[in-house]
Amino acid sequence: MRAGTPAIVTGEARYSGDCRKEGMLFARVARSPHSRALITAVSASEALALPGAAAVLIASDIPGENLIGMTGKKHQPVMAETDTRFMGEAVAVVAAETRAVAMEAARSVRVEYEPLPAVHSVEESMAPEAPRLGPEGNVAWQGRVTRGDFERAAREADVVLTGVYRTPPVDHAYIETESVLAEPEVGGMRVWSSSKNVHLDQREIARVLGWPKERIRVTAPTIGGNFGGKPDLPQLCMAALLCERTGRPVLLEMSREESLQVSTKRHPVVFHMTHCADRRGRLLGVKMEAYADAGAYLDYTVPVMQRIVIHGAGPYRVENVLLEGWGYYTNNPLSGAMRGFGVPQVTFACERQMDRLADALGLDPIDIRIMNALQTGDRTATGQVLESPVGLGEALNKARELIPAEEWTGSQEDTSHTGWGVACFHYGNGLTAMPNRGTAVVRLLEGGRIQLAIGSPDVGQGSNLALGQLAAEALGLEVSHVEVLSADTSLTPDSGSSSGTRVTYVVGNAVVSAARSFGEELAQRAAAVLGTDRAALSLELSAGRPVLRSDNFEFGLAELYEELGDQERPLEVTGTFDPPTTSLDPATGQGAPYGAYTFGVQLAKVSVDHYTGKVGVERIVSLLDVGTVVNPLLLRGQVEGGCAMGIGYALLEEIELQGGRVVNDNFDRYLLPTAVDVCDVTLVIIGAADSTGPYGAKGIGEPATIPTAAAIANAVSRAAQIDVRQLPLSLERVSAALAEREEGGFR
Amino acid sequence: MRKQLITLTVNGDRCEVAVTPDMRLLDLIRDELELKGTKEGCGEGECGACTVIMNGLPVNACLVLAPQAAEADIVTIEGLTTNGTMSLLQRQFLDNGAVQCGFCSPGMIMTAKALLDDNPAPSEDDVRDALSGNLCRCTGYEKIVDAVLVTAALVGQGSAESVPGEGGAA
Repeated sequence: MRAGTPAIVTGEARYSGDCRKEGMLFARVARSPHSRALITAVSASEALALPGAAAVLIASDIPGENLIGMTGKKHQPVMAETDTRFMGEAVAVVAAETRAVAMEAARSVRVEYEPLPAVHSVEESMAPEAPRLGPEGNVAWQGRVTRGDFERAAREADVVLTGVYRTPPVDHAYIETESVLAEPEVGGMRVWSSSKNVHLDQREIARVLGWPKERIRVTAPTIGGNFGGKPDLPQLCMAALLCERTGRPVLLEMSREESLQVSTKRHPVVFHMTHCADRRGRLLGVKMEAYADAGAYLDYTVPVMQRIVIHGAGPYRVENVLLEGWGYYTNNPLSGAMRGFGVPQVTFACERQMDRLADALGLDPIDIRIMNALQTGDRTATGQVLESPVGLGEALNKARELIPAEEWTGSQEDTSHTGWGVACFHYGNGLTAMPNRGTAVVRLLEGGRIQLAIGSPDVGQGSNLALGQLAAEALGLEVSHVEVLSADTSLTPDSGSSSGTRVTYVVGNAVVSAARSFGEELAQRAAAVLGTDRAALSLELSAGRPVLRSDNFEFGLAELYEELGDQERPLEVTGTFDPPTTSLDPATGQGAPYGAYTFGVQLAKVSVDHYTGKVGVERIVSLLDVGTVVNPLLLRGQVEGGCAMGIGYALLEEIELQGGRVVNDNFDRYLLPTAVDVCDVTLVIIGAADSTGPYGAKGIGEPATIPTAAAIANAVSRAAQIDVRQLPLSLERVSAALAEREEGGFR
Repeated sequence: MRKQLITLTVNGDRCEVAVTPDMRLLDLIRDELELKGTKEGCGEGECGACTVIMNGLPVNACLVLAPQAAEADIVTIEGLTTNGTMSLLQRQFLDNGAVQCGFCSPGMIMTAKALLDDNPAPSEDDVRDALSGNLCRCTGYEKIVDAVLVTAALVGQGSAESVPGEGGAA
């Protein structure tokens, strides 16, 4: 079974920036050069006067609402009207006959600003004298998960260990930058969006245009990577606005520099952690205060911070927790959703604490984790009972078998230290503590073809293939008999976003339900057509094609389609699934936020150059409890890609901001891992089928990257005898720590 | 800006194109010749998504000015498929799971082709070094390296025959 389609390797696949339409205009955004400023005047006349300029739009030209948002809370304008709140925020958008004229016109929009004092860190945002940035002050979100009595646990503990940990803002860095094409259609508009949720795109465009959403059709072409980041909603809506104004197709692209300046980032977070344990290493209590930079608008800060507090004690059995989080507005680029939704950050902080706790007690890092690992039937920090099998303990035991004890201690050579590190994680599948129904449609089409339609886009991870497999399994057919269509608001149902590790688990359950009902429906219709008993018919393969078979005849699906009345075509069945979740108690954060959890352990072997501070990752072992594996090749692809992204997070990547400007705004300075920076990844599958997943499957998209940076940080700390508290582990940071150790500062 | 007419060979076809002095080879390929398989990821030669083969060597088409390509022999990703038949290398990218979102794939495949043309039996380190100028954010590179090594091994065994471009999803 193959991932990807031939069109991708032949160059025929069309991404949104590859589309060209008759009479198409090129668009460009005029962006704020200030992090925070009042807009006192805007003049478009000079830009409009340029030969080839077709339109210039500013906020006051928006016919509908100038408010958008990735969640239910609409907080960000498409274009700034009275004031700008981060550098690069859109102020105007132009369309022109050529790309060159569009760029010239964007530069020619005259905007007068009155710069205001700006806030560039959580600490500045918290200060009493800080300017007020949000609608209700500077706190974008605050919340907690609390259970038991942490203070009492701290009093009774043998060891109380505190630590402050910092994680950087990083970019999704999909190789395809954001690109949108909007074109007029009879009665409305068609938009091609490189998106994780075409139905959300449709609703947002409709509100901004003031149109009924039925007039807008959003389709995802081939998508060049997502990782939680696309679409850029302002860009999406600006392309639609220009199309509406000019009546012509409009292509709005972003340069890499624009993308790195204005796209959302992984939340940078400061964690204050306190772990309490008895002398054997049993965790008695965990306290966390997490302070995140939300950036200029709310975007995804609510679900990211919810995830952080929910996962704040790690995948461990802890009776007493006080896990609190705050998101603060600043005038930095927006923080948003990025693969892991806050959990890679909190895993780094938690897992460093676990290693330091092991060191403080003279315990083995795997032993202390086995002692505390969540097991089937345990309660999580939110009080949710884990009823499905939990493979974490098994994964830790397996981890111990795989790596000989003598390798753990590492080796010291003349120029480098080597050693292993470990990190555990858990990750709730699906959206947090809210309904997030998945929907799937299965249809019988002309010629007896079976089509599976789902709204959630295949963002490159291969979800169309995995979901097609689940449908085929439910129908008792081969995957080649199921045509998969995704991400088109006119042809596919709203299945929700391809994010939150929800596609396999949530949408997959809907697919299985739809496919089962469809198989039943086929048999019933065929029985009616043939005047036979339904129980005598079954859907089977005959000479490689699906047929309804009885003891003495076969009835092909093409024939069945022909026999159906016009009003019965296409024969179509819808399936849905909403994971069994509850909302969280607003005071205590107690409840059941997810229907299933993915668990895992990752081991990383590193070498640390004694002189330069350069860290090399030599090997990764990823032990995962993902329930039933749907597609081994896709799973491996997610894990290897997730480890590479985690290596970048651990060692290389950090968006460097100076006064809200992204200094490293292209790949010469924002460094991604290359083919020489990655390492062999050993994948070990652990655990049993999940009791609620489709055929027992759980998700892997985000879990693939969650533990990697934490495992590497623990390995570096252990190998080089330094105490890592901040990512990334750049040459400068590691060599400084090595120098400090030489001066006898540590341990 | 004044245009000049240049002649070059692209995927075996002679073409005459009017170019401005500031036009990039990437724009010539994508906008003038409408060959959209070559991608732009960074515009400054760091990501390799725009890699094409020029006179036998891999180049970043965003760093070559179109007038510099006068009389050059260019091969793009579209040039690897003949009569709907994809090359062994392209097939191995699919079969080895070296493709996820696919945006880096054309450039990655062109870099790999240039390597294999020059060195039919590369070591794993050779492959990693050759690919280190091409960024991929999805795969973690392991499957890409595998695809190139498997292709080299198959060519070495003399099983380099091409396969149909629309081969089944076996």
